Amino acid sequence: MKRIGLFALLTVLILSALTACGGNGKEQAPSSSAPGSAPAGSAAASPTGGGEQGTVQADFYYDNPAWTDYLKEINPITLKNSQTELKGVPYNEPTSFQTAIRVGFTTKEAADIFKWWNGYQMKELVDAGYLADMTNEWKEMVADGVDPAVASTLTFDGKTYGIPAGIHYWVMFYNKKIFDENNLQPPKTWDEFININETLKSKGITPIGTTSVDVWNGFIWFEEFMIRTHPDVYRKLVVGEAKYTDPEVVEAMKLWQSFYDKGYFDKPTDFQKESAPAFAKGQFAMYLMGSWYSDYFKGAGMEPGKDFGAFVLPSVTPEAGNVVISEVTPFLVSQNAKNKDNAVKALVALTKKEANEKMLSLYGGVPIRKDVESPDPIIHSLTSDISAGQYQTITRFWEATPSELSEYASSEFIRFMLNPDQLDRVLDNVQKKAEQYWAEHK
Amino acid sequence: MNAWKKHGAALCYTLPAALIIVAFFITSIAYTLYVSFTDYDGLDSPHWVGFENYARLFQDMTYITSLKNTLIWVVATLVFPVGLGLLFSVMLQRIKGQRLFKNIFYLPYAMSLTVVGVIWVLLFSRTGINFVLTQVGLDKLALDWLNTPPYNTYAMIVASIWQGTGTNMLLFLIGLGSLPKEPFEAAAIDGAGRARTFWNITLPLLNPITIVVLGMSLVNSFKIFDIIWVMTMGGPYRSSETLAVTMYRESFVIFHFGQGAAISIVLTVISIAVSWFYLRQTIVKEA
Repeated sequence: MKRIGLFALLTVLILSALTACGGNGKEQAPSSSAPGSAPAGSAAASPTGGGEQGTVQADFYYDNPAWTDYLKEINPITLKNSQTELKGVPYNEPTSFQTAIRVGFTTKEAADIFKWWNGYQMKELVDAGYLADMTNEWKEMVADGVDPAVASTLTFDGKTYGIPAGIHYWVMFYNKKIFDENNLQPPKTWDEFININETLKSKGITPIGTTSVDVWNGFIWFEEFMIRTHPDVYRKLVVGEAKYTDPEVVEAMKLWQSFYDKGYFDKPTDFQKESAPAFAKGQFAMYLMGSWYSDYFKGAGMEPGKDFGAFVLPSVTPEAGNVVISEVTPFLVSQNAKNKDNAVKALVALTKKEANEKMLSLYGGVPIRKDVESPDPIIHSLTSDISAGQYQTITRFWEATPSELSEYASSEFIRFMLNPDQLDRVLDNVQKKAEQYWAEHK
Repeated sequence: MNAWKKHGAALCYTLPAALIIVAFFITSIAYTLYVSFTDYDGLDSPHWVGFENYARLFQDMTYITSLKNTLIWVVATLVFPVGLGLLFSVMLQRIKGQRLFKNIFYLPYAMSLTVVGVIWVLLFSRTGINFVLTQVGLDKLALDWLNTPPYNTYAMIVASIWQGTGTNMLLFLIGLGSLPKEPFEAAAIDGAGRARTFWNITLPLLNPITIVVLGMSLVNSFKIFDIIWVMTMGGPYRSSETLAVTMYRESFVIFHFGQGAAISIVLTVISIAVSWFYLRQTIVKEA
């Protein structure tokens, strides 16, 4: 009896421990809501829910708690233009946020408005029929001054969904003080770029900083070397029409490898905590990242335009042409949202001149309207250069290829960053994964 | 009727708990089992794929690495935190200032694994252990600990040992304090040395506590997740994932709910099977 009792007690203890294990992931979603925010399940689509008579509220889900402040600034504009007030449902990190959005589609509590990613991550929602079509509203928005070119990344089979809330280019930031001290100018050609690296190296300055703390960090330099050498192959590669073992990809990777051989790269630093202070201190002179990273440098005490600048890397060969990676952050409306019509009206209101100016002043990025200019000197200069050079925009690797592949390939590229001698192994691994994926998703 | 009279009250008391377990635990397991045989991604309807998700676990190098890491964690966290816990408890048993040392060793357990992870990330950074190694001329030993497999797994195991040893030590101290004195007096009269007394008297008498400590450590080691997620997120290139981390990444990062469910079923089956054999063996011996 004693034996059975002890046995039962231990079995219960073990089962309890296992149950606790299963609960880990699920606990994150509620805890990730910022203090004071609405709980994820609270639909507030009541026509009388707003403070003023005739106004409506729409839930807005996002994974950047700082946007709660943005809502305070933007709500007066949406109230004025669409009698809609956005009620924030913030999440602290993308994993629990994405899970909540995806699960929400299958319930009666689908998010009215939510932030998402473009490319394949958006396409799977379009294919599943979860997004509200805003093609007609786009005619109205374009007539009001929104640049029709920015609709392209949100258009699938002739239908346009949502609005581009933020557009950023992927650029090379440079430390102006280091460049000035060494009589260096942003390069116009690849040879000039190599000369900058050699000059800095000869002065004992590590030319370029890198990061590998998150999985996605792996694609940064892969996509850059690909589009600077063979942008057409890159476009085919991400949709399964080229192989990671093709000669053009191997060539781009060997060029990347040569940067390690020549000592152009610093040891990877944590982009969230270490990279910006290291850049400010002059530990390295350049850093490739989305233009949104400007805020990190500002946080490290640097002033844009004075202490740091940015340029688009030149192409290796003239045939590669003028191309730049773009990252579009769409705001979307769920097809089965309780408050779909008002949510669509609110998104249209967010594209008004006043709203776009407010968005740019708070979070930077490229204007989505033709009649708005960025207040940020770096973005302003970049948009001028990109417009003058007639650059073609190319979708960022993370969104350009299916999530399963972007995740795996980026992880393998980090293997390469830490072990540049494993070039062949990395490309073979990624190609095997890609073959498996495309065979299953033809 | 007699049976109802005899056990009716007991059934009424246990029914609410049993219903809760069925509603939230058994149904979850059944649903997870069903999902593990599908390609469910959270968006489209699940399609039946048979044993494909299970077969992939033994073909894909990522999962094989994850399985190997889980076994390393299980062995290491069974041997070290339990072994060191026992060693410290025996050392502290009769020394002055026992309370102070008890608190010092127990302190890490009072911290959440997330905090422990953050502390050890700093210690394994350029400004931590590596700085000390460089200062004392051992530059060659200054590795990029968390980015170099398999050292990243070993580094995290060290952090876990630091956190988990104290509680095992405390349990052993309680066990040691409750042992009867007579066998030790008899051993002393018979002239048994300290080592012999430890092996032949202390350890056998401590067996009930040892069973609990090992059993808990065993299960905890299979489900290790928090500290890995904080310190490396399973990286770089998925080299430091364990089955629990792989399950989370597959389910909630790339939304392969089917694959994630298959991993969780395999993990649960392994944990229960190992625990079952362990408990059966040890309790039969104990009896």
